[in-house]
Amino acid sequence: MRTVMPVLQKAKPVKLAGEGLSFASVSLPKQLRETKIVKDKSADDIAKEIVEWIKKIKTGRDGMLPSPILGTPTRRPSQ
Amino acid sequence: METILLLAHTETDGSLAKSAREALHVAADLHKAFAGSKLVVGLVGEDVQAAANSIAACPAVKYFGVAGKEFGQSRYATDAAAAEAICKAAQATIVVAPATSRWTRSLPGVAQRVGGRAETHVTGVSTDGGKITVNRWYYRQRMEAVLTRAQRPWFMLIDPGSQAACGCGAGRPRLKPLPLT
Repeated sequence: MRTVMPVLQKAKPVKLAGEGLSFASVSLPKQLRETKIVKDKSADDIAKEIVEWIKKIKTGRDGMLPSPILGTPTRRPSQ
Repeated sequence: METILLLAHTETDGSLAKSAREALHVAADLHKAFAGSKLVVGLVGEDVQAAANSIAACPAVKYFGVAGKEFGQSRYATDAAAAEAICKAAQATIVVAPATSRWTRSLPGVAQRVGGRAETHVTGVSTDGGKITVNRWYYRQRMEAVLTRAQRPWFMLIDPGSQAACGCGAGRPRLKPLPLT
């Protein structure tokens, strides 16, 4: 950095060619969570809910699926 | 008047991937939204006739192809040369392509060569009052922006899985081969 910084400080400012580009909006993606907090639920009820969730995976929708514990993650395109 | 070019490469078996049909869906929608615009298809691959045949029912008026053994596999030099030749031959103002690893690597360079701009990670294209706006992701998909550009040609790399695939049928279009040396 000792050698680079003086050179950087001498650099001439350049106008970036950003003309013609306009942003209508910039936002963070909305998170979709369906997490629920339930107290005093019996082990049988929890097991039943997990089985229902597994059945839903087998029968249906592709991609990312809702988890009863984590909620529904935001679907994002691949990087 | 916009000339919309769908730029796609074939798979190893000569077919078009679903992501290419998704990009075609976007290109056809843009063509429909702009009266008087032209839709052109450009294909790159070892043999592109079968791919052109598979999407013959789309409203494209011209088909350009760069074919040969050297275009069968991904390589920056050949991909960029092929895409540049097609863009120049088609005189495209809007270039829609699937964001495959092959195009994502080469098309920003092609945009630079033809004096245009490239948008990667596009997840939506809309037209509002004669203006094209794209939704794209920045910073490893942590921010989403809606933007428009005045520069042409404008390259849009459509993220696979973000659009419906075009279901246009088969036929036998006239394909214009572009020789590259």
